[in-house]
Amino acid sequence: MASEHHNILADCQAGEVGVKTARVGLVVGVAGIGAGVLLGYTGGHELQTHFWFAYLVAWFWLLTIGLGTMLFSVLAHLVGAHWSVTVRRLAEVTQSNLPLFCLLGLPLLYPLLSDDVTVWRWAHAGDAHHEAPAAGAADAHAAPDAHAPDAAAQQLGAKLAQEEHHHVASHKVPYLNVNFLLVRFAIYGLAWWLLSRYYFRRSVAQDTADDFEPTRRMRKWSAPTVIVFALTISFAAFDLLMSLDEAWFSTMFGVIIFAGAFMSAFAWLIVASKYLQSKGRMTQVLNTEHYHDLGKMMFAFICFWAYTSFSQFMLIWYANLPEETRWFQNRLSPAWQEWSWALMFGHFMIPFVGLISRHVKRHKHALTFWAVYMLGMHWVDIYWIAMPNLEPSRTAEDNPFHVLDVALLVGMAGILVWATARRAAGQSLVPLRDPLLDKCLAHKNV
Amino acid sequence: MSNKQPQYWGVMAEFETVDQVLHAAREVRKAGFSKWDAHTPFPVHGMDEAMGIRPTRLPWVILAMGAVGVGAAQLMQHWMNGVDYPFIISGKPLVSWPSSIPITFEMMVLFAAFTAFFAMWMANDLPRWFHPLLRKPRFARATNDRFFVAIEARDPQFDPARTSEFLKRLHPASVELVEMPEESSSLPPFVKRGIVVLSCAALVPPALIYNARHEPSSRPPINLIPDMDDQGKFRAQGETKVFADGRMSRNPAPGTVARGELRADAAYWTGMIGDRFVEKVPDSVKVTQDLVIRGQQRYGIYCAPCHDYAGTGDGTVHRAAFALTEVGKAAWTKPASLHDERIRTQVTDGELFSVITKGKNTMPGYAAQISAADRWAIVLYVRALQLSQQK
Repeated sequence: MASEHHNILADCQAGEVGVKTARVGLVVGVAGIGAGVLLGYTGGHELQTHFWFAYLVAWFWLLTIGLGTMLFSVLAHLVGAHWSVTVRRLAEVTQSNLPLFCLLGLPLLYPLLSDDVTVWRWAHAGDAHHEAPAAGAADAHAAPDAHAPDAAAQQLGAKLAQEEHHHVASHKVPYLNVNFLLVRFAIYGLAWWLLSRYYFRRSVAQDTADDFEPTRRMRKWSAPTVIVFALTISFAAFDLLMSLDEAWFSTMFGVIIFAGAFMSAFAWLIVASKYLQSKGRMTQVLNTEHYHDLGKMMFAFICFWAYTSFSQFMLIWYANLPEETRWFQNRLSPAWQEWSWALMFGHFMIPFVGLISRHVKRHKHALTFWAVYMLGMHWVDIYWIAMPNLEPSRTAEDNPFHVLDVALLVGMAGILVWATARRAAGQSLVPLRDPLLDKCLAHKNV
Repeated sequence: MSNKQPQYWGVMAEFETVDQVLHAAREVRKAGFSKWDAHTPFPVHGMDEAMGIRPTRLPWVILAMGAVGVGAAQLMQHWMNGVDYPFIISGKPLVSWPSSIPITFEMMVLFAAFTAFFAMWMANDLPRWFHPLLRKPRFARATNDRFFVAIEARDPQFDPARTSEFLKRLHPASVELVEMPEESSSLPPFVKRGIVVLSCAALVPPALIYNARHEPSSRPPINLIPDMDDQGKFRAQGETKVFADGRMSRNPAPGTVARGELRADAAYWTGMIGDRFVEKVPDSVKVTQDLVIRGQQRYGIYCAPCHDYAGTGDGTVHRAAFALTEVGKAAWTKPASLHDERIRTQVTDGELFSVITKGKNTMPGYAAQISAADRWAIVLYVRALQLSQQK
């Protein structure tokens, strides 16, 4: 009996595997980001702007995985889930790195504050948007001199968009200004730092506690935490990604980002679990049932992502308001329409068909394939949101895709592996004294 | 021929614990029985494996019917919007996929859910009046704290004595033979007949509606729920016996003016003095920049759709209607350009006001939508717009 207990304890220690994996992750991370910087800063000024966009995309990909795993850790306590106990620690060690992920976002202050590079146009617009919309209105409405109805319509459309753009953006100045944005960033960072730390520390404390006090406290704070999470991730998405096009707005946007983040959290947990099991860890505490559940949740949030994304698209398509439609018009332009179709099929329809069967979700290798694939699609999603705002690509025929985009993604993925493995090496891979652990081990999908 | 030998439905064994029933299930399976089942108060983990139940095929049926729902929804909407009743909504194409997605989604869920529900009934031989096992008082505890294994007489290996013996060796709390009930367990005839009658009755309202839609009738409509259709009040154009002239509508008492209806300033209210349009905006309109901006705003709302923001007559309504004329689907006259020489120099302020008020050619009057003060504001703005185009 004692030796069996010892075996389970050894089974739940990453130990050497964690240290080695962390080393590989760090090398890949530094190499990837280094390659990205090198490519970005040796290819002319235009590519520098591209680099900062790509950095924002790759970093936001990393951040959303951190946030998704944080919600996963907290939600388990809020709903009293027992199926997720054995994978919860993996989520906890991932999200415990949120402070680090936030620090990796600090370089983005450079394009925000410096005038050398423009990522957020509104941050550099100066007084251009403060023009009172009424002042030059009579002139602005002057008749276009075009005669062909089509040309006139196009000219007018462009003009309206331009006016609307100024008009709408000028209304956002009280919210969308650099000083207030820095305050908000500080709030998000502080909230994520405190919450990730709290949920990681309490959960680790439970491993050695004699009573269930740490779990009780995590449960107590889980509901307010979810509210804080919902607000911070939504507003961070508005501030970082939606404001790239300062005239555009969508109230659904935060929900879409949340759906993608939570979906990739499950994908990441599947990948991490499968990796550890292939290295002979967690073999006694994770079985098909747990993969099945992770797969179901990933599948659910693939569908939820599609649901919210389509809701956003359809309302904008139907109402056809210039300041809203422009956003999709850019993404259906020749340079971007392939990406739009790739997203619709690749982020929803193909994985929907691929994952609908119970047998796929219970097949570890197949499920891991889809999890890696979805982590990639999550990056495509963010790329598709951010990149069309890159100035030349808004009108260009060719897509601005550059190999440095992938280098940065690989780099951030390396950082994710490094940060997670480093933390995982430090303690048990499973919350050993969690009150629901027994139920989790005996868990079965009927 | 009466059969003295009792007819058996099967035999049931009662167990006290989950382990016992799982053990029994494995043994029964091992013994090669095929027509048998376990009955437990809650889902017992491992029972499917113990009984050797193959995964259900229900998901495939549901998937297929979900796909049928998607197809049906697409065909339905294409036919309705594109063929049966083509109608342009919000300037979208007649058949456009984004607008069809919500219905498609709902139909997929509907088909899949109904299939799951009714296929599950069929797979479980439902509906049925009762199950022979339910005639056994002991079996009531299957919903409470006891576990049962029942082997049916249909099984080729079944023999009342030997099968009972076999079950007794599995440490049951009890073993009982279950008799075939005298009456049939399928639905009684009156229920079946009732279902048929109700189904036929359900066709009557659609038949009546179909008839009503295809047969002209001079009779007043059947009014099942009159609600407030008939009210003891006077309506415009109505008839009454209260007044000698038989009319419900009354003229105002001679020599009176309703509140707010005194419109002594004819120039202001009609843009005319006598039968001549006034040259300029009347003095009672105080011309300020705010009023011109108000006019610009009202113009943007009411006039720009046809006349365009710039007053050229190229507004969105014109462009959409013009596009239809090109494919022969509409007749359309272009709205006037407000920069037209005649409108600029010969049409007086009063006439402009009057046109906004009463309309002209295909343009309707806007007196109902735009107040007189705003109409004068628009006149002012139109003048400003015309000036802006003067080189």
